[in-house]
Amino acid sequence: MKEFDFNSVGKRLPYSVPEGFFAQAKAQAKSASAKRVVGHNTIIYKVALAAATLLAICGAAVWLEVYTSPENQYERLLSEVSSDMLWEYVSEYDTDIENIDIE
Amino acid sequence: MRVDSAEIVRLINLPERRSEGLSLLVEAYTEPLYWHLRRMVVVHEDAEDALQESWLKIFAAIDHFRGESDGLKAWCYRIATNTALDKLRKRCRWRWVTLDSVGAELSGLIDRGDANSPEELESMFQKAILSLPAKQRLVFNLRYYDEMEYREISQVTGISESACKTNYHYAQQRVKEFMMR
Repeated sequence: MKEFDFNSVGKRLPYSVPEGFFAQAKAQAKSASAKRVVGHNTIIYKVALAAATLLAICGAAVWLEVYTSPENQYERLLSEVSSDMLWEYVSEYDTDIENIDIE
Repeated sequence: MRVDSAEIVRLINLPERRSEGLSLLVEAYTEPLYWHLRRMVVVHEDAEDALQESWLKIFAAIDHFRGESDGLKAWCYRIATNTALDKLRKRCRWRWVTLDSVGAELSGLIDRGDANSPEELESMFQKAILSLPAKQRLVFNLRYYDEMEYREISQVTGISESACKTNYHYAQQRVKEFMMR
């Protein structure tokens, strides 16, 4: 019996497609991909906006914590006073020490 | 059409040229994927549905494609193959048949004229392929029609290269036997 030769069929298929099918299928796929790109960019923007908002809130919280806590206010006020003023303020008590009568 | 997978991957990874890359991907693979799907599901409408579904899955997952650019074709084929297998599994569930025996039913669709069969020899050849077990059928189609290397077939099917070679060898033998009946 003669052996079957694959070349007699080659890559031919018994199937056909409607005219213009591939052009239409490509157009549909490209349109879907464009939506996907827009969607992808929108997600990036939304994530960036959320991150920026979160960062701003955290920044504001840290700023409030640093500048409004009582200890920090005391240190801040102290740093605003010059050394001369401090010296003047402390030196007022020099005489008090001298006048203490220890028996 | 010669496909430069490296260029497609490069463009897709550039945000400002992403749509250009996706367009090139569509141009390059729409026809090969359609024919691959058509050989699997036989009916044009099913192949068309599977193609659209495959593209949506590919676009959704393209950001997760981490393979080398030469693996892009196999990656797209793998998604399309899984989509077609899902369709066939649904068909099997409705008709209480296995994935291996669904080919006999699909052969009947060629006879009924659903597949617009113009040539007797080509129809016979397709019936021979559809008579194969599912795995052999898939490997045979990828090797014979899509001229894939065993390495690529292994990436698409998830079976080892040596198993692909064995499957192709047996498939060839069975198709020959079928055609000489």
